Amino acid sequence: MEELNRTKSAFEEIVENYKERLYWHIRKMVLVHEDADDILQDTFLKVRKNLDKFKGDSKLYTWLYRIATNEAINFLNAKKRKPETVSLSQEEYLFENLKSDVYFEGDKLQLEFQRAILSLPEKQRIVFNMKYFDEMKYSDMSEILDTSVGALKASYHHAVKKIKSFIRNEG
Amino acid sequence: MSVNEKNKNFKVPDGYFDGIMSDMEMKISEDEIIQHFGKENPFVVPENYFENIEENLSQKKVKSILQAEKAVKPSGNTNKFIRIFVVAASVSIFMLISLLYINGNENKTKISSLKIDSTGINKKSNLEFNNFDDELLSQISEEDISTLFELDGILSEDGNVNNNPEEYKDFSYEEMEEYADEYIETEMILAEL
Repeated sequence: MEELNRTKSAFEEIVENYKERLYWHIRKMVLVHEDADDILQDTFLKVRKNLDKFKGDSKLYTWLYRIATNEAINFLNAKKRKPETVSLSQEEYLFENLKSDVYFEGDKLQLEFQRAILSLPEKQRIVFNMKYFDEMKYSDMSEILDTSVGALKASYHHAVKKIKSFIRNEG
Repeated sequence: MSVNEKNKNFKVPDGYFDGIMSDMEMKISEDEIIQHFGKENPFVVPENYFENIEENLSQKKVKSILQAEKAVKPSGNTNKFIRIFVVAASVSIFMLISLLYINGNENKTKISSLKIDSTGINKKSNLEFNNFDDELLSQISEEDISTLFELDGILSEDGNVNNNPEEYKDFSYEEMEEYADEYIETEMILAEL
């Protein structure tokens, strides 16, 4: 009973401390608020279920980000298989949804930026968001994405080059 | 004294100096992106969203538990379908065994006897093919149908063996006849061969 209460209060603390960070990480991956909200809740439910299995081999926050990232990727993959999204590419589908999202307040330029980010392959997109917006360390990203620091640097480098060329082509 | 010797107490990651140029190029490109698009967050959330997350979370938890329970428990229609399927399969097997037994003893179109001990049926009959299905169905007594329903009882709603005779009221004689029809059609084709 005591252990159950301890787990419960640990979980409440995690939700309190990480809800915003995880939300924004997910939101940048799926773009639309409703989807991000769903995934965030699924993430926390998974965290609650597996909290006793967390052995502290990694930092708590990289473990949480890892769960959130996987949940978001699974969500995007599931969307790909849905009949209503089959005719569109994942990027087109996300962009169309973003345009109609009432919780997106960016101007035309911001919309273009999101389109440029969406043009990146999925892994590069995740790496770009984590580095560019969240300014996350490569070593932490390496734990979250289970990828070497070298590969992450290369990924980010490619992503930056592509966005830069997107700017030149658009301009 | 070389530069390296002067700084021998400090270390850098392997390949650090080799990657400097590439890192600088990337930094320049990154700055270009920042200048063009900025770093502001264009996304917003509904009012008080973060304050209400815990509440939404417990609501979703309850919902997901309820959904899981619903997924485990088959619906009334599904359960009925399973039971109908089991009864139909049982009737088909029963009839197939009957005919195999009959054909084994007398290789002719007129069936002179029907005797199956395993289901408790022990009857003599004289069936003609021109009214085969009605005749054959008439050979299945209420008692025999109960036996089949006892097999069906294996699949009750709670997953336990269900021997409640009230449950059997769901199945009419017409339904039984329908299940038998399917089997009889197959048998007729076999008999013609």
